[in-house]
Amino acid sequence: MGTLIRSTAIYSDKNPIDSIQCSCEAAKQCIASAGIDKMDIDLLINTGIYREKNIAEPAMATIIQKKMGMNLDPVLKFEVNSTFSFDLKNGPAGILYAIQVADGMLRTGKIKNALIVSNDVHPSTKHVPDFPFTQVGSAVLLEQSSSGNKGFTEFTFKTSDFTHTGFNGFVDMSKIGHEGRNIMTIKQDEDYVDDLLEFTVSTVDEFIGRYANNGSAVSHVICNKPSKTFGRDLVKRLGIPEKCLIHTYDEYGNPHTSALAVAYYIACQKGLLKQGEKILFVGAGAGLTCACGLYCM
Amino acid sequence: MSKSRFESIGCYMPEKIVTSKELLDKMKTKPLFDLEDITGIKNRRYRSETEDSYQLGLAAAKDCLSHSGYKASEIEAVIWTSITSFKNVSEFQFEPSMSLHIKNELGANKALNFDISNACAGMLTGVYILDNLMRAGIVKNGLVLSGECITHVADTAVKEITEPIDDQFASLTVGDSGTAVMMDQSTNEEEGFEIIEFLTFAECAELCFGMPSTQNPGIAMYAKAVDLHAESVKRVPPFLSRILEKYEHLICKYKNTNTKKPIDYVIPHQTALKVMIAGVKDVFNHVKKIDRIKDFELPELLAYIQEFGNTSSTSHFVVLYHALKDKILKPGNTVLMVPHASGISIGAFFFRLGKLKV
Repeated sequence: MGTLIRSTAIYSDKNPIDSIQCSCEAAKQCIASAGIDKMDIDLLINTGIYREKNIAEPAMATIIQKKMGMNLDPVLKFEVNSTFSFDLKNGPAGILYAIQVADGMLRTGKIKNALIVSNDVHPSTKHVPDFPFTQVGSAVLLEQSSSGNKGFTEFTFKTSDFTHTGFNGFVDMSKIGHEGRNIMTIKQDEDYVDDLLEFTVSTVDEFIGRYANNGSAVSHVICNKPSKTFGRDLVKRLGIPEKCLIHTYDEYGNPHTSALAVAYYIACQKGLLKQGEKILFVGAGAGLTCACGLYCM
Repeated sequence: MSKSRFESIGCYMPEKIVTSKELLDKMKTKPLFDLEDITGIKNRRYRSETEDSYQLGLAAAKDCLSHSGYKASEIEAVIWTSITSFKNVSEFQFEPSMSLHIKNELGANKALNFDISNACAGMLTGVYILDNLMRAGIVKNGLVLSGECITHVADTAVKEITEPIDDQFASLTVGDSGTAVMMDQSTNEEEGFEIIEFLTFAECAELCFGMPSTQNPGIAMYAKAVDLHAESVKRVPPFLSRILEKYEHLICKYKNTNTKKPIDYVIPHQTALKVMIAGVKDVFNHVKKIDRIKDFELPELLAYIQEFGNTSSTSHFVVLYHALKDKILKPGNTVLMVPHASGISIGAFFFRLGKLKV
């Protein structure tokens, strides 16, 4: 039994907005299109990294739970249902790690419905030219598949044996003065994307060799795009036809931790995904980090 | 299905000790209350000028592995769980993940790694996740760790408190630390977790924020401490008494024949000594109203807040480690850990101890 994506939604605004509001807009649409009651969500994970004011506490997921009105006070109100919320961080691959965590809880029966939300915004919630990410709120609702080999069936998670410093997002508290809520630093080496591509190709190659007949079983590829050509370069190097790649860059740029959810949503909207097809999910980011998931429609 | 357990534990406390008096002496505006009397906190550990969250967490992980039957190369999951993620002393990290730095430094190359963030419930959220990953057969073992350089918020509070009532007063209670636990599946029926429950009552999610200050460089914590306390005392006792009732059969399995106590020790989140003492009594007053468990006796409270303050995400594990070191806790003892964190996350973690070396 695998974990199924029951519904997805995305939300984007012309101007940057609070990440909490952005995630909530996507979450509302996602829950509405699934036709379930928001009170049935037992697990809420936020995988977004960059947020308004560089808030470190509480978990953003708990504030999203509050704004969504999900099981706000189960103890005093003697509710049967409750929600547990936290943030999980691992760059654009974070969503696949969160799906793996939710998958485990769905399989053990600990939970029935998990909602994963995300988006990245500059801490100032303003347009900042050097900030490389597009803010797109995303929400993915997961449930357990009742039949055979549907849903996420395989995962792999790999990191480089030596921590690669080619991409680093941080706030240097010794240099921020009074502007700690408005600034942050992203350092990216010129060859970072090339290094990430090499690492991703070798990780995915091994994964599809083991689980997807070297790629010939894959109908669609959903990946994040740290550069305009990353997705195309990746499928080319893997020997997968370019028509299998779900394109999002021209429309959305790089929505970072929301990238995989955005691509899946677009593919659904365009009616590209057919029953029985296998989708390869690839999340690649700093570290170097590469996560793969194989999903059967 | 076999239970998960703590296989080994590690802890690192920075050497520098700062007394409550020393902290207050630096302040222009003193609190209206006696900090030491109201919280019970005499001392807390403080990072040195060159220490950061990463180093504290790494030292704890190395200590943990030195007592473990596992080599770093055998670790299957590494979960980093702190609020503060300082590396290179002053850089608050977003990516790459802190867990990646740790796993590569330890040589835990095959481990699944990620960071989670859940305020002071961090370490126990990691335990909750890892327990499930093991139950689902995704990993066989894992390391949950946190390094907290949380005294940055105390430094900010000392500079910024100008009124006798201020949202930053709770920042004076914190202390720095690093803790790590290795978990695996228990090899005997009588050791390990019987209950792991967690929920977020998000109604009160916005009563405490940690974020950079607008007045000074560095992070600050703004807590509506009175409201937090008032809202929590309404919910934690009924929540816990319901959990104890629901799992009475599991709890009573290990009833201590000498003391007749179904739970030997309770480790609450370490906020203030009087609050913890009153909280435990309050829970057991609730328990007395429930027929099935009305005879449950009060467990012993474990607190190290006097020496270490509120160490935030590591607090239950700083206590566990030191209670083992001081030979208070012994194999076979039953322990209830109660998370209570900004969000607001509350939970119940009940387990029976095996032979944990420190």
